[in-house]
Amino acid sequence: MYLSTWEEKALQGEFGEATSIAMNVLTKVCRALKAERLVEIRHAHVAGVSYFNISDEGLELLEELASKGARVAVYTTANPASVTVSRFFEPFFDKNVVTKQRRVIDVLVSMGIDEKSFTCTPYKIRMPRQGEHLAWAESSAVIYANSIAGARTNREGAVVSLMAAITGRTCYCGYHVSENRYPTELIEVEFPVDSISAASAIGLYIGKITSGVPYIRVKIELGSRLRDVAIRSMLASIASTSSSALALIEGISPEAKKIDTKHLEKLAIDKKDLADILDCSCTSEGIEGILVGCPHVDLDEAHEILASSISKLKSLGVKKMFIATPIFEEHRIAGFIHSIEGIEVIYLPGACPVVSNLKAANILLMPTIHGKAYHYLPRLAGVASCILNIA
Amino acid sequence: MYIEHCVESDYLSLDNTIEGEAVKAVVLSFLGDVDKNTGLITSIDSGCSGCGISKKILVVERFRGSTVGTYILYSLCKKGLGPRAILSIEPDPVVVAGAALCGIPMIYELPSNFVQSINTGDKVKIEQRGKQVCIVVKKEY
Repeated sequence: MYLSTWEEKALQGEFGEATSIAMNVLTKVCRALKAERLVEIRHAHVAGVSYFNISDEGLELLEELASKGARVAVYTTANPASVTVSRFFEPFFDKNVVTKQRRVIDVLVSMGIDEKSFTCTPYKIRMPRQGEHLAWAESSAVIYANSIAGARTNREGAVVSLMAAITGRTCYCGYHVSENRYPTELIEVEFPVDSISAASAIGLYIGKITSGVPYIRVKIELGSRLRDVAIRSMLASIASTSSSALALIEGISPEAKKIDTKHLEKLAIDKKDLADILDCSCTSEGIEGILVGCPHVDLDEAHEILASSISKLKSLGVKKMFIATPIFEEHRIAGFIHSIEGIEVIYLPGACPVVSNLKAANILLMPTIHGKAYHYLPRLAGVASCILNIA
Repeated sequence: MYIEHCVESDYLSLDNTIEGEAVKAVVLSFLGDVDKNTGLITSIDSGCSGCGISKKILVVERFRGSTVGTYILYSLCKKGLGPRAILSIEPDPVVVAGAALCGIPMIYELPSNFVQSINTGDKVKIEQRGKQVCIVVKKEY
């Protein structure tokens, strides 16, 4: 693998021990991925923030790297933490767990990661430019950056994304290379999409049928704010049921413009294909709480979702709405409602319920409108889920 | 009986010859299949349940599992419970990253029949010969 003079010097330790460690890991991983060289990045986004995911071993590595002088070389954001950092959930968890989650956040901030990030929507803080190279972990953000911004990033692992942040480089392979960004099939959605939950179901379905890079023809009939949430939710869902990191949406993705779809195999999705996902009613015993914000929603988006779904929430007997939102929204929370028509609204700034042990908080079921949360809640949070067609 | 396989390695250079006993797993993840406090393999389908990887030459036919595996391998090494080297057929980036953090060699793209022929208990020597890295396996019968 080709290394530049700077990269060779970094590997030899000229820029400090932490940079040398990071360059060593990065070059070995890139070589294993058959990358010919590294590529300089403009923005890194690191995952592996939830203490439930990385546990003591992850915290130990982060603190050791920091003690050896690790600093990010480019602008870097981080994924949300577990819900142990939220006022509502903290009392349910052991003090030791809460403290260690705080230590993970503190050590990342000490390396120069934006303390106002801790979100799965880093593009809301800094929208990447078209063609820009990134090293982002977090599959939902990766597919958004590639598909909507036209930027270039692979789905980096947690450790590699941090090494990329420290060196300012990543492996030049996969979605960084133009040839790998051409669609593999045309997927036509045969009905207009009028809700976030329908967009989620479509995304989960597309993830199961795509061979890699779907070109999607879909009409979304929602106001601009909810339309954006629906697109994010659809893309995040595709990335949950597939390893895809790019979907070209007609009329939206910058790279979709130059695609001639004539030669692509065409697959059609009608409403019946989504029946299994959308028709589930969760439970007959009433719903304690539902999750909104996977990927994170800002407070304006959250309240539009709440306003448009309030009558359905009441008829379902929903008692709580959990809203996962970026930490940069924290200062605005006081200005927003905390209950409406008997429904308690609980904000989780900088946190993600999906990567948290929700059983510890006595939660058994967490319905949602988002495909990614529906896919991962049973696998990662240990609770049942379903998609409620309420918004 | 000896079996020998050499690789041209642009990515690997050994400072010292490494010797140790092989521990062979058919399939392995560092998250879930290895006890992070003892370094013992715990999964039955690994084909070597109860084997300790500490100071051994870990030979794995196929890796599986989560990206958290990098942290676990690194932590085992910090506790002195890591293997001396890892041999495999395909490079799993999660394990490659962990081995790099441990400072132990990971040799991959080895022929599958060579990896399959190594058994737990075989004596393995890994040495640099010019530009080549050679793996010598002494079979125990």
